[in-house]
Amino acid sequence: MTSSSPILSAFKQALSEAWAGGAGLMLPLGFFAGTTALVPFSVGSEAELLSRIGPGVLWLALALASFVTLERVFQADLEDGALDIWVQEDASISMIAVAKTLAHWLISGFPLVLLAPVFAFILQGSMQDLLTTMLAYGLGGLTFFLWGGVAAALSASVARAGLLIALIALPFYVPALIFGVQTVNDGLEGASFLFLSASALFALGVTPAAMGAALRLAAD
Amino acid sequence: MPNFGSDAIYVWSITLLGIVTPLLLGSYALIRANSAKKRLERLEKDDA
Amino acid sequence: MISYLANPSRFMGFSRRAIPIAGVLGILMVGWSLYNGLLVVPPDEKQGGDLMRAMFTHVPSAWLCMGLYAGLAGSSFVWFIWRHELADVAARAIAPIGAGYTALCFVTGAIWGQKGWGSGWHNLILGDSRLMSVLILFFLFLGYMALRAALETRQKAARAAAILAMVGFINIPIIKVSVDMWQTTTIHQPSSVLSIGNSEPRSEDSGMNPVYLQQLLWGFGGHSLLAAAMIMLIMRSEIHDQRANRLLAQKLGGS
Repeated sequence: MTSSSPILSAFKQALSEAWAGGAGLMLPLGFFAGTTALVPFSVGSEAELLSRIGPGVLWLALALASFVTLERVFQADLEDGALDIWVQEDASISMIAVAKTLAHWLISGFPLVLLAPVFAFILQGSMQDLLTTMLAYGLGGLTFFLWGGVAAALSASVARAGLLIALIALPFYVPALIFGVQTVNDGLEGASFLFLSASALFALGVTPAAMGAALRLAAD
Repeated sequence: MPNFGSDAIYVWSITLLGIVTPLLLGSYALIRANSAKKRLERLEKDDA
Repeated sequence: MISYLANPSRFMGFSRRAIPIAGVLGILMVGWSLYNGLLVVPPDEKQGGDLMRAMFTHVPSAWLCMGLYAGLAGSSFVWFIWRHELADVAARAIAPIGAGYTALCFVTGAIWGQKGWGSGWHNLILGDSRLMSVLILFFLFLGYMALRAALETRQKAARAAAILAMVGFINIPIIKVSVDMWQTTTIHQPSSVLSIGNSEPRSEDSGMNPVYLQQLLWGFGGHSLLAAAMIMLIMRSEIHDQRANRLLAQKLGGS
């Protein structure tokens, strides 16, 4: 089990980084709450309008959160030489990358799942299909962060990569976004939930190899 | 000149774009090719 | 053919002769398809009337931009596996041309939709999933070029960009499915929008007038040749640039 310890330690380190960097859960919670609070100001306070576009705004906030938090996810490892050590130790860089990405999702993406009931209330959405909504935000966010991780790994050696990551990752976010929104509309019985799960699984299958290859090349 | 009626402006603007875009791309490629070739030739001449 | 041309000096010899031929032939073929498409073939009685003449620009560019992305992914793959230097040069050269044709396809589609669906840009963007897919394809090209520009060393840029192109390519079917699904639920009026939007891509099997198809193929062939000529031109300038840089480095090192 020599390979599991660097993965675990990378996961823990990324957790603490994401945690401390954002002053704990305050930052993601504040980010989502703030974005949501801006919606009535930007489009007016008609209840019908709010309930229609509210969920869409949250999906955008989720995508934004992933861009912001993933900007430096791999850069520190490149700078302090941790990446070189993993390459030398022949650790599974793919798994380490996934672990780090998941840690960031846990801190910055998962809170939206927990907050979904609150937002559903604020934005006048229906309180009925909470489970569906939470599942959709969870799976969709996971997919976002995995593809965002690929973009971050590809641009690991770029100094200010925030906008670049957003541009690269944008097309990859489209399926999860569409399926996620559809799932919220159609419920768990609809085909869209299957598609959402499939796209999350696909991301889980493809992104580790891509992140691994990208990080390996950033190291040499 | 054929008469396309109310469709004319759409048909012609699309067709025009279809001519201008390859033209622009082509001149970009030509300019790049020429400047790269000139630069190489200049360097080779300095060398000799 | 491909492995024969993998040698840069043979490529230079081949492209020097191929570029003018492809260029002239391409212009002739595009001109022929436009001449026939605009002046000779009858207007479509079933749908669009004279408006469908826009198809002779729009549809070839749609086919071509997809082909160019496949070419980008393909040469990235060849470079990634076999490290043929020329494959990377090709990928670099395809990107701007592909982005240009993708933009052409999107803009012409938007203008066409403006009239064909008669209800303005917003409805068009919501109305046609294929056009939306083209827009996403444009962003894939844009991201590819941005990533290449951002990475400092050539080798790093080539590898990262190759990974991105391949990952993007395998995602295209999923993007396509998702955008199609999104369209069917966002459209509110199932009127002529859907019928026009759907009949055009399947026109081959739904009995499109063969005179139209023939002109589309001429246009597609012509634009493909033009694109090939441009890509080879850019490849040549890349190779010249590399040689010049090597000379410069030698000179600086030697003195």
